[in-house]
Amino acid sequence: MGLDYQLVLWNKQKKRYDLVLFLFIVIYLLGFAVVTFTTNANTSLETLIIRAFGSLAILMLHIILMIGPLTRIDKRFMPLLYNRRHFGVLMFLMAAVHGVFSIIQFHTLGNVNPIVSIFTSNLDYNSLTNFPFQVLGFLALIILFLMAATSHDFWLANLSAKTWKALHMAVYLAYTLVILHIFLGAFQQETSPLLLGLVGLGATIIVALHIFAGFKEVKVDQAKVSEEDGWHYVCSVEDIKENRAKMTTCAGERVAIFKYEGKLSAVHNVCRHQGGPLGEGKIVDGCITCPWHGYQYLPGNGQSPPPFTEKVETYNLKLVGNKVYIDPKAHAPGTPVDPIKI
Amino acid sequence: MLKSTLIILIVIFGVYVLIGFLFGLYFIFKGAKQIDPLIAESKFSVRLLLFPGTIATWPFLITKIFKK
Amino acid sequence: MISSQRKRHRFIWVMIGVLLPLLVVLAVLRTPSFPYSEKAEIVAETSLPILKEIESDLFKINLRGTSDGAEELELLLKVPLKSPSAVVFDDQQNVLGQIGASGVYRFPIRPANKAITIKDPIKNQIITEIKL
Repeated sequence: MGLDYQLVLWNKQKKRYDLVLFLFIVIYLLGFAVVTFTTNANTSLETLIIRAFGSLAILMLHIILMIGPLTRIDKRFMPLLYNRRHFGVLMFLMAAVHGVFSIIQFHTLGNVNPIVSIFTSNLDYNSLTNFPFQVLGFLALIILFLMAATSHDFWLANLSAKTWKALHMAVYLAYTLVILHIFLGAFQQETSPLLLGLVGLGATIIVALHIFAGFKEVKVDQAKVSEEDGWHYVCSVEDIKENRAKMTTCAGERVAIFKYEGKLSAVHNVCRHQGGPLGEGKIVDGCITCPWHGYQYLPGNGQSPPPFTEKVETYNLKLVGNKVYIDPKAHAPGTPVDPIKI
Repeated sequence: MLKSTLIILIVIFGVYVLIGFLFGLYFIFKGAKQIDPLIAESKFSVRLLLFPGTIATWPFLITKIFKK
Repeated sequence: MISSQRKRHRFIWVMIGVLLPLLVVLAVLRTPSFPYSEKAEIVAETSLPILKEIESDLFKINLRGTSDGAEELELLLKVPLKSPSAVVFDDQQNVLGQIGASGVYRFPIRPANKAITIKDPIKNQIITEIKL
């Protein structure tokens, strides 16, 4: 959280993350060049650049798309999630190099505008299998550009959460377009079963991970809750650690119940910044602190401490003996609710 | 027919980008402050970083500026 | 994630899981199969004598061989072709190999071969035909 926007909120972990990414990119490109020139010395520099950056971008996109579901399946993958934004922007830059060089190599030699040439050199739009693959790649690149261009916190704050999220979920469409771009393009010529197998394996892993993680969450959503007069039983007080939370599900939404200073308060689990799980964070200086980027909320009213304006929904709690119950009806974001004393 | 339609769509896309570029120049110098006061406290390099996104999302931003 | 986002993600990934393999299988089935390996055989660098030369703005062809006839087609492509993929066929529609960037390509050919065709198999267009 800050009082102004920064280019990048650098910290030690981000610098390390970016250094590893940068080294990975350099090693990959050099390795690709060495293998290419060893196996086919006649390869032109333009072809090498197009293939090296294209394959690197696809590899990076696969890794990026695995991060989300992996963190849901095992928390040890969390460090990969914190700086996924940088990973995404770098991946777009690699894809952009591939795209620009491809456009120059294949579409700038005639007297037709290069962008027009991408869309009109093959007009077989009615065919499913003969669909112009260049168009698929171009559209995927546009989506990735939109995402990279709006990845800064300014856009999160000013595009509205719904719009920003919808835009960034377009990565799934971009991924589908990229896979088809490969199979209708490069594979028409490079029919090596190894390459086919690798991309197929990558796609299978990603789809399987997402579906597995998704249905794991369904189990949590559908967990049986014992109810009494409209109140849902959560746990006993001793089950909640000091300055930490116990998570439960109310009407499909995850709620975090925090224990702090001899009191209990309940807030919606999703951080307003980038959707981090507040319930996995802790109380620091009297504030619920999101484990992803440090955004804070006062437990008594779900509001960020002034001058910040983020708010999350709050919930009523009651204590019967040492049993904690929650009213599943959420209050509007930022509504004060008296914490219950233990 | 298909070719002409595609060319028209590409021209519309080009016009969109051009308007975005021109609006972006206004936005980074003046417009950004109107919709987000935090930008006024931020370095100019941050606004430059926002330039590509401005080209892409100028209709949203113009609507926001008019609403303010 | 909030509940509605989780539902949307599940729906999207189930759809991708069904549609993507279907589209990929269709694309793979459509992939043209080449009778030869897709890599042109590398013929000797210090080559046989030139029997015939053909030149145009786009290329220069040297037919190299012995007294028994032509054995090697040497194609010097002067400028890169507009097509992203270009495959060279002999007069019996056998694949000789692929060309792309400007440079020298060498393909083995039958002595009786009378012509070559350069085709874009993705767009299904003939780029040029050359009588030898």
